[in-house]
Amino acid sequence: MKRSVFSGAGVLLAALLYLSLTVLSDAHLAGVRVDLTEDELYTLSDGSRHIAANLAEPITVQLYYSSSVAREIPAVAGEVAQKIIAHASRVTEMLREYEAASDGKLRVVELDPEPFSEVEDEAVAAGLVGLPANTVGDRLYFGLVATNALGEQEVIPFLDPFRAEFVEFEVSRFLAKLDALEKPVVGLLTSLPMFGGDALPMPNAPPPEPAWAVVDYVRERFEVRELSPDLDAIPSDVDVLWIVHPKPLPETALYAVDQFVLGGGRALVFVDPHAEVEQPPNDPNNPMASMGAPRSSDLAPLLAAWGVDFSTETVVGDRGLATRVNVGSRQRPEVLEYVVWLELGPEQLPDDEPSVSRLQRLNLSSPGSLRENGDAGEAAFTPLMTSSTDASELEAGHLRFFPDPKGLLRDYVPGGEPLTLAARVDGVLRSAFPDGPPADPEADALTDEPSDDDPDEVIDVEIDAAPEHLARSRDTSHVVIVADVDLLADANWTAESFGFLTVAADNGSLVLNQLDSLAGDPALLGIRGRTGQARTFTELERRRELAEQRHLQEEQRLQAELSATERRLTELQQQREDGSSLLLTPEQAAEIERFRAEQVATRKQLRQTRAELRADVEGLQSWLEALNILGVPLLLLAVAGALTILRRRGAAES
Amino acid sequence: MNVVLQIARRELRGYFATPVAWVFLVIFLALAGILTFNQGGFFELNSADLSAFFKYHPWLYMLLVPAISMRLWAEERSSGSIELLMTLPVTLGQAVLGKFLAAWVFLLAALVGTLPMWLTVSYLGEPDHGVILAGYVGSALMAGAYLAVGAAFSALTRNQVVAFVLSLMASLLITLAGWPVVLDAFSGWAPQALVETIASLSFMTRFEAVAQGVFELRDLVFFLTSMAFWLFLNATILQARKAN
Repeated sequence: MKRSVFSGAGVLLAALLYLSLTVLSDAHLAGVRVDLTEDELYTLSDGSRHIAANLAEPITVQLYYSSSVAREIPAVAGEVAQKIIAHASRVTEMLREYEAASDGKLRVVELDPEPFSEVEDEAVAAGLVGLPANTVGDRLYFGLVATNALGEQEVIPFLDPFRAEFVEFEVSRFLAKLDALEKPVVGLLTSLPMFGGDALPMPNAPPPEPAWAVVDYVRERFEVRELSPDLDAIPSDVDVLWIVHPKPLPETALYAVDQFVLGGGRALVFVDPHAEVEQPPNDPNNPMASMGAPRSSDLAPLLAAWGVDFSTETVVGDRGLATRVNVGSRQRPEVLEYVVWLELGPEQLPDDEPSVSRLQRLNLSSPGSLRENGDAGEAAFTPLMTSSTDASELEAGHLRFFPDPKGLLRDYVPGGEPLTLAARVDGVLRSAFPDGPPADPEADALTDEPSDDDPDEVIDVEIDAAPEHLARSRDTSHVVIVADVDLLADANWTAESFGFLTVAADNGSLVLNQLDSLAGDPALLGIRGRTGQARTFTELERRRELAEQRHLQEEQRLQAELSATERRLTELQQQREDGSSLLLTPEQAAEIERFRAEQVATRKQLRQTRAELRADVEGLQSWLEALNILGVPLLLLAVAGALTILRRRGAAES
Repeated sequence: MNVVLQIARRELRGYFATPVAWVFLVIFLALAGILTFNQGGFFELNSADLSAFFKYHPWLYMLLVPAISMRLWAEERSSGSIELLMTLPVTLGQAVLGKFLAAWVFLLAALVGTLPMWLTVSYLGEPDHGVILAGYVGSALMAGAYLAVGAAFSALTRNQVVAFVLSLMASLLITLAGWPVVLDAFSGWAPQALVETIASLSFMTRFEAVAQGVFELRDLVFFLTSMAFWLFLNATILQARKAN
């Protein structure tokens, strides 16, 4: 008898083979995978690889994960625990990939802070936060500590599985931060209190205003230095010039910026026809003046010289991207589209521009528009943010005093073309000062005659100190212009919860991306902005909004009727109490009855309206549920029935 | 290979001759739908994905796959047709593989019947289709794994009900392999490495990893080797019984 492979000994062997194959493939096939997610959430991006590969000094990353505690979490909390466990294995592998890409510069150490162990003490000391995992009080830790050769540390106290898409960015960000020996320098020239207030030297003084969140955000990667509008030259160690909401700058400052850009310095300019974030100075003699004052900024004549047309008198409104606001009261909400508050998504950002392509959401308030003016010569004008095609240019004057959402809609004339809200200019630019540096008022003060009609004299005084005047770009210049200042304000992109600021939109990332791309480090661009907005049931949301629109007016009307009826009722009843007689006249009684009936009828109508509000969506839900549960089964039963009948007929005939 | 396919085809045709297959499909699809919408809170989650749907697949398979697998071998043994099968010019391996394939294709048909869910979620929002595809691929592999387990137990006994119960128990253990319920039995005395190995044998944990959207080679290897192992066991049991 031939000995078959299917024998008892064979089973033992097979079992061993199975177990060992499982263990071995788990261990050694870790990196081989296909990332099917559209957002590529599980693949290390090129930017991260680049950062890891170019680390100059060794960095150690300690990953603290309480795997022992995690596995023992009771099944009741099982789902969150499963998510944490899955996330933990992903993060561990992601770190291994960083390690592999780093060519030995990055070392990853896995530690398990078991309860009451020294490792746990270390973790807590480093700032890690543990979740209470069971009734005994054991804590689940899942965080990391990265240390560079200088002993500087970056800590992620808890790796939230519900924020999985941010992990790569955060890890790359602090790797870059730990690696950089020097941060590039950004010179910030602004008329707004972006650096926050100074602490008042008085006891019990209120705390100073904090710096704008965007400045702190940028400070993580750059050194941000404040520049004064009185400057006459940009400091030589400034890598990127960041101009925000420039009030008319003196000529010397404009000239300094002009020459800086032509000399190869990069600039990021924010101007605005109407910056809501600006608080015009209050004139006690004329309080209304400040309200009506223009809150605009411009960088003429530089913008014109760079080939860009920008007007402080026009604001872009966009019905397609408008934010819906409540213009009524809480009792009577009236929802309208405020067309100058724009919410931009990926469709408004060009796919092929790495500095914006991965951004998901930008919030703008009353932006202006940019156009090519045709004078730029060989420079290229590349739009970075555009409106939808349902956009209109509106008069900025409408927004002064009290904003009038309905008035804006009245003047709305869509042009059918998308308007450019931000653009980059690259190429050879010409100077806005073709005749050389402007007259220096201080030098004039030395002479008796006004210098305007004798420019040579001024130049003679200056000629030893001034650097060579550039009439055109020395090489190629790069400037990014954004026609909205409000997007930098905290309110437009951050939200506060439990005392912490959280990121609600990509405005900060936009600024950081632009600074990075201008400062010349492309590595981080591929990673930032993979915020992956939650995918929701947009169809249901759309229907709910439509239903709300339809029914809100009706509900308001009914509510008003109801209030009026109830008021009348109370009046009548008070009449009865005021009157000397304790009895009602028949007329009074009849009237009260009438109003009561009206009250009941109105309430019923209100209920109906509210029910109709939900009916559309709930109807769709029920229908979809039925379709999915019964659809195919019924189809199968029909097919089965048909086959049976056919078979019976076939059998009967034979 | 041709022989295997022939066997598979014959088996598959046989499925639809009886009401059992149709009943199974109807129950599977209806149950999957009910669980997704009622227990899974599909609409309440307001998330354009099928996580509420895939969540229940391990449990669905654990419960329903034995109903299919129990018929693979137990019936043949009690009706005596297994001897007929053995006298035909096919090897044991071919027979095992052929019947398994037929059952697997049948389960895949059941999965295909859930495609309206994918259409529904695409209508309601913009889901990540890659993630859903990964879920379906993972579910198909997992179905095969559960089936292989059931097939082995169905070869063990003549009685289909016994086969059903045994498969169910075994599937339950394997599903919960990563949970404290199972691991506690081992964690007291076994070395940590062994405990972790047992945890890594859980079908559910593997499937959930794949359903996140990342298809790892080692998960594919796991499911394929699981099927291979249990089918090998299946053949061995048949061989042993045949010898008697």
